[in-house]
Amino acid sequence: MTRRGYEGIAVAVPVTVPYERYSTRGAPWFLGRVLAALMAESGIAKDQIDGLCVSSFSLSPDTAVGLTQHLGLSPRWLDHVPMGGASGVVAVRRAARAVQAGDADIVACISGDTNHVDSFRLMLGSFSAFARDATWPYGSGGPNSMFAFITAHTMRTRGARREDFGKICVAQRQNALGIPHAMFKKPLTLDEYMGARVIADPIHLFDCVMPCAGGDGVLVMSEARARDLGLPFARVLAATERHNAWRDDPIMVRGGWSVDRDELFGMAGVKPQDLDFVQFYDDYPVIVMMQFEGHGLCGEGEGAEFVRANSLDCKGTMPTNTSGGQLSMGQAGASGGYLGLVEAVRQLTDRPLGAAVPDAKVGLVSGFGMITYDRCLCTGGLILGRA
Amino acid sequence: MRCLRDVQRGARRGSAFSGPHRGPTTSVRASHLVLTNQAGTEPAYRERGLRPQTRTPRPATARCVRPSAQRAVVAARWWYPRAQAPFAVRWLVACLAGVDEAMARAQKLVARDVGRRTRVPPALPQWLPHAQRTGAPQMTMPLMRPKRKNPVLRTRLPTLPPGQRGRVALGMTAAAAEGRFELQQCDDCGAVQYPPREACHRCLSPRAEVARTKRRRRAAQPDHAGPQQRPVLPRTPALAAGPGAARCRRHADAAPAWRRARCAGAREGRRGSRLRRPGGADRLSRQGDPHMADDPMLREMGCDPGSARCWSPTASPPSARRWCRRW
Repeated sequence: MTRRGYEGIAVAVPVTVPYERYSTRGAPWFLGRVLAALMAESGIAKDQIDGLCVSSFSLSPDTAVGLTQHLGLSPRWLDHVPMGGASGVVAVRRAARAVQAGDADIVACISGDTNHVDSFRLMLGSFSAFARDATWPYGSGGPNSMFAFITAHTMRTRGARREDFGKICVAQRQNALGIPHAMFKKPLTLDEYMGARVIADPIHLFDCVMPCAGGDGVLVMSEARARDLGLPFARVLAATERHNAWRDDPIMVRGGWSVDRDELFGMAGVKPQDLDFVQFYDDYPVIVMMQFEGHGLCGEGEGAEFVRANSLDCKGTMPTNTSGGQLSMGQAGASGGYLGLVEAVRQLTDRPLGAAVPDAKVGLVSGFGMITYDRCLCTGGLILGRA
Repeated sequence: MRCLRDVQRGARRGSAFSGPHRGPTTSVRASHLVLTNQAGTEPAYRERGLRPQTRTPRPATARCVRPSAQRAVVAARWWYPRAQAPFAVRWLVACLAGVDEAMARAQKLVARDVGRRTRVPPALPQWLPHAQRTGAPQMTMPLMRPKRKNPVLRTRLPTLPPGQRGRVALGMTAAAAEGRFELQQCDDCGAVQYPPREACHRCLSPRAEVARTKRRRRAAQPDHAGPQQRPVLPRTPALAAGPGAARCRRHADAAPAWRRARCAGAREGRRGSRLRRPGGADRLSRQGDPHMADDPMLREMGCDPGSARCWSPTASPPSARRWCRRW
C-alpha cells in the first residue's frame, strides 16, 4: 500500500534562539524562548497552539509533558521526539500527519538544549546503554572515537581523503560567515584544516562540532491556515523516517536514507538532481559525504568523487548546509537536528540569515541521530518546496 | 548467595547474646516493657524506634529476683486458685508436676499483667517542659542515644530526597535563608507562579526569576516550614559586662525570652559560647527548650558530636568522652 502524501501542509516561522557556548539556564529557558519567538513572529496567541512536539536532551527529568505545565500550554496533540539529529525531520513529518488528520490545528515543533560546563561530557556517559556497556569500559567513548572508526573505514574502503572532508568544512564555514550567532565566524582555509591537531585519528579539530546552548523551532499547519495568517511558508513535498537500517552491515557505510530514497523522491515528484540545496546533518563531514550517496546525488561509494566535483557553498553547484551547519554554527543538543530545517524554510521563504541560494525552489533536509556504540540509528528525509 | 552479613549473623547466633544461658526470661521481658514506657519515651519517640537517653530505675514489679525463688512464686501463684489442698501439698504438686510447664503458664500471666500495665500512660514528670508534658508540638527534639550496634554491620541510612535542585528554584531557598518567603513573579505581566521556573507560564517572558524580580513578601512564616526550617537569626546584643558585642544567635524556640533579655539588658548567665565549625565564636542564647543544644541548626553550626559515633585515639571511654566534649 502506498503511503499517503503530505499535500496541503505548510512549515512556517523558522525561529532560532541565538546559540551561546555555555549557559547557566536550563533547557526550559531555551524552549520557552523558542515558543515565545514563534508567537511573536507569527502573531498567534499561545492558546491557538494546540499541538506541541519537543526535542531536547537536557530537559531531563522532564519530557514534553512536563514542559506543557512549565510553559502554560494545553495542547491536544503532544509528541516527544528524542532523536537528536533526526528530530527536526521526524517532528515535522509527524506534525504534518497530525494536522492532516485534524488532531491539531497549529503544531509548534521546538527544540532546545542548554550547555553547562562539563554537561556534554556527563551526557555522553549516559547517552545509550550500548555506549555505556560496549565502548566506555574499554577506554573508548564519545562520538569522536566512534566517528573516527567510521571515518577511517570510509577512507580505507571508499578512497576518501582528508582533503575531501576538508573541502566540506571549508565550504560550510564560508556559508556561515554572514550569520551573527554562529560559533565560528572566521574563514577557514584548507591549510588550517589540514594542520589542525588530531582528536581521534583520523578526526582532527575542525572535523568536530562545538557543543553549545540554543534553540530552534517552526510552526506546522495547513497551507490554508498559513495563508489566513499571512505567514510565508514552505510546503512539505515528502517526508520519511527510518530507524536501525542496514543493521547487518558490520561497519556503518550507509544510512537509512537509501532504503526510502525512491519513495521520498517519488512522493515529492522530483529527482535528486532537481534539488536546489541540501541541508544535511553534519556532526562529522564523513556523514555529509554518506548522505550524498544515501540520497542518490551520486552512486554508492562515490561520495568523495562527488565532493571533489562540486562546489558546496551557497552559489555553488550543490549548495550544502547553507547556514554553515553544525560544523560552523555549533551543536545546540537536539537543536542540531533542527538547524537544517529552519535554514531550509528560510531559504524557501527568502529570509536567509546568511547568504541566499539563488532561485531556490526545492530543498532537501536530512536527519541523522542517536549514535549508540558504532552507528546512528535514526535517519530521515524531508523535501520542502517553495509555496 | 552467602554474604558477609550472613556469616556474621551466624557467628552472632552462637555467641553469648542468645542461647540457653539467658537468665530469667520473665524479668528481662518485663523490665524491657516497663522501661520503654518511662518518661521521655512518649509515643512520638517510640515510633521512631528510639530509646530513652537515660536509664531510669526499674520498677519494683520487674526487679530481678533469683530465678529459683521466682519460679516458686510464680508456680504457686498459678496453682493456688486451682487446688484445694493445703499450701505445702500444692507446693509439692507444683514441684512434681513439672516446673517447666508451670513456668510457661506463669510467664504468660506475667506478660499479660505487664501488657495491661503498659496500656495506662504513665504520669509525666513535672520537670519536663510544658510543651513536652502536654503533648504540644516541640521545637527541638532531644537527641536520642542510638542503639548499640555491631560496628561491622552495615548501617541502614534513611532514604534522603535527591540533592539536585533547579537553579531557579534555589532563588526561593536563598530568600528563605534570609528569613523571607518569596514567590516568583513575572516582571512583564506580574503573574505569580509556583514552582519557580524559567519562563512565565502566562506570557513566556524569561524575566521571571525569583532572584531578579520583585519579591512577594509574607509577614508570617509559611505553614509548611516546620520548626526545623526556622531560621536562626543573627543578633548583636549589648552585654552588661565582659567583652563587647559578639555575634549572637537566637535559638528558634526562644523568641519571647530573647526579647525580654534584650529589653532588660543582656543577662550573661543565660548565654553560652559555641565554637562554630569554621572556627569563629558565637554567643548563644540559652532560653527556652531544655534540649536546645540538640537543635539541628545549632548542631550544624557547632562541633558537638552529640551521640554520633566518632573515632577516638584514646582507648578508654571516659577519656574519649572528655576528649569529644572539648569540641
